[in-house]
Amino acid sequence: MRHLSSRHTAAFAQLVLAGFFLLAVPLPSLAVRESESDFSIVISEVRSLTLDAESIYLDPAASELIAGWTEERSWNATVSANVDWVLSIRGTDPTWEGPWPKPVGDIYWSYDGSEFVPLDTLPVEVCVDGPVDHQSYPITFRIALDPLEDVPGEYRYGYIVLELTAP
Amino acid sequence: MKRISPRQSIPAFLAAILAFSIWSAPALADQTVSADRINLGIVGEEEFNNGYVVITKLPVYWESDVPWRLTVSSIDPDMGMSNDTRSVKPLDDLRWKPSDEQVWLPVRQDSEEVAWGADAGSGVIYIDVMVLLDWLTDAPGEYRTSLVFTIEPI
Repeated sequence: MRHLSSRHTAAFAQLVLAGFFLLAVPLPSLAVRESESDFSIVISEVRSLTLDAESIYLDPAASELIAGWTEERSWNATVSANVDWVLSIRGTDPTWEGPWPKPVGDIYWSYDGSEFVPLDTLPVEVCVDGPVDHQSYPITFRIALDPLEDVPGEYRYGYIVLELTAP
Repeated sequence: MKRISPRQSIPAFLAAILAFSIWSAPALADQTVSADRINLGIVGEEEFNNGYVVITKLPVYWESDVPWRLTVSSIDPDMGMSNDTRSVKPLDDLRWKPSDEQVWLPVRQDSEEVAWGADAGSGVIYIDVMVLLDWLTDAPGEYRTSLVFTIEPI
């Protein structure tokens, strides 16, 4: 094995010292500190329904009574949802309040121009869809009139309920 | 005077190195940064209609004995999958800004500078965090990521 001379040993030691200087000087700029911060957000199932009207008032003319129908009135059901949904419709009461117990089935509804269907106290599906952002769904109403039974007077029906639920 | 041989001088050099390293230790930057967990809670109809949910004035505490620079980044490439695993919420939907500024910036995996200072010291920097929401794309789920706040010498 070759022995280092005293001159080599001194040079080696100086190199070590120089190397340390090289290491020591840049160290401050290498120091980095980190902090991890967990971020979380929970998005739930959200379904939103609004109607552009709260009531319908009708004052049928004699011609409508003879024709058997009132004029048509429409509501827009506006839906926003981030999941699938079902829109259903029902009436709260089996009959109207008025001169005679006019049945709930005299209220007819139609979704987006489809055939008119008599309202029931049991919920009936109007339409189904997936995620939507303020999408309007038009529902049109008309009332069946019977000149023999619909005696003059004020008739009032409870509530027509539109519900947005999971499929 | 007794002459010291080069071989004998090695311990002296090592001792000098050790002494130097002890002396030079205070020159290392002493820096810390800390931030709390960020939980935006449960999103509902109001937040969806707004199009966002925001949390303001989150404190990020820093301390440095040298001029410093604070950055923020995300470890994850996105905020994770919806419960039905059919969609991924992009990291781009997560925004931040210093509380005293107006412009929102997307959180990225690359570091973005939050603040810097030419003076040593300690303090707190407040940031706002916002998540963009969309009825059509944000399916139910628990979305998360890890934000990394880094302080380094400049």
